[in-house]
Amino acid sequence: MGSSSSGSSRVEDNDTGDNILEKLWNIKFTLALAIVLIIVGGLAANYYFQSRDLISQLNQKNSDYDGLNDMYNNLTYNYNSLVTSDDALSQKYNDIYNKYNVLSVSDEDLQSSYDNLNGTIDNFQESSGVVIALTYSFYQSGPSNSPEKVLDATAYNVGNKMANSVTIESNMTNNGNSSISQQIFYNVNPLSKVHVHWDYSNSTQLSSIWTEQS
Amino acid sequence: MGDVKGNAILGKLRKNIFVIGFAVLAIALIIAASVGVYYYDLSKDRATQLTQKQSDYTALNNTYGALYNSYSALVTSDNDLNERFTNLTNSYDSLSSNVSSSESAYDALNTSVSKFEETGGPAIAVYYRTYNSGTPANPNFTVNITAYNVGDETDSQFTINCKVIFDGTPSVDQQVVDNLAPLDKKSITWVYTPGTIVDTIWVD
Repeated sequence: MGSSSSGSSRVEDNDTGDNILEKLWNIKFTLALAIVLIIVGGLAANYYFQSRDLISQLNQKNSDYDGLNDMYNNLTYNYNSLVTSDDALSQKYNDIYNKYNVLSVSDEDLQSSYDNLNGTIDNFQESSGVVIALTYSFYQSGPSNSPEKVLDATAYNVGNKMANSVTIESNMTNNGNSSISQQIFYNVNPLSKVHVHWDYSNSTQLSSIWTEQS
Repeated sequence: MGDVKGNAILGKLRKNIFVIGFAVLAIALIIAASVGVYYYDLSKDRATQLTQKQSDYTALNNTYGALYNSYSALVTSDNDLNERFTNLTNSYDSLSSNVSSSESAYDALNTSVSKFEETGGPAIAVYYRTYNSGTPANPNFTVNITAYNVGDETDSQFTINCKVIFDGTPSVDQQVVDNLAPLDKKSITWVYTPGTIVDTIWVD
């Protein structure tokens, strides 16, 4: 009985081991499926996190792009404004450059004219102070039935200083009688002149005419 | 009777537990695969978009950089132009002021000349002076005459005459002058014996 009982127990153990192998063999597809599921699940999770990471990067990149685009638009506006302003300034610069050149030529012409005239005057004027030059004309005037004599005289200060006074004097004779005509002018400047106009009877003769100055 | 039926159901379940498990795993695998494919496609799509956006960003950044360089160059050029414009404006104002002063001075000088000059042709005015000259052993009497054209035209020809008297005898010296311009002068000197008297000096 005893040995029979022991033999029976070994048989049961062998049966149990065979059963597990058999059961594993029976669920081999299930196990394979589970492993595949784990792999596929892992891949799915990987792509899920990858797509989440990518959308985050994409959002950041979109934000960066929009920010850069705003800066670009702002810079474009500033650039275009500056181009317009610079063009206007260039135009103004060219205008004033042309005006400057025209004015420069006018200035040179004017300076040349002034220098020429000034040179002429310097050569003409005496440098020794007051010098009075005289021109005169003694002639018959009036109607034929009542003729008279006229003395026109002009004194010019051709010196380079003002004359305090200039006197034009003439010595006239009439029927053997002589008389002096004179007129005094004060403060006669350089390059200025004074004039006398005297009327006499028709028989009057001009004896001499001269100037005195101080 | 009831226990027999229940044991039969449990028995069936126990018999089919692997089939059910297999079915559940299969469905889960399909779902996981679908989800995996969905996120794979989504990742691929987003990666493409990201690459495109990165490319757009790079292109825009290059364009921005080029525009920024142009803008910087234009700012420098504009500042330079602005400085040159300011300098030129100051120079123009200064020149304009000089021209105004020169015009004023020239006009004043011209007005003086215009008032001084006789109009309508040449006009000759004369100044003369006499003085003793020479040496004590050989004294002379000098007459210096200057003729000024105070008219506004050139005198093509005129004669300076000097009538002197020596010992009761008159004589006339003459000097012809050609082409004396306005505001020009001609000077002549005659030397006589002491005792000579100047009678008249005139121009023809």
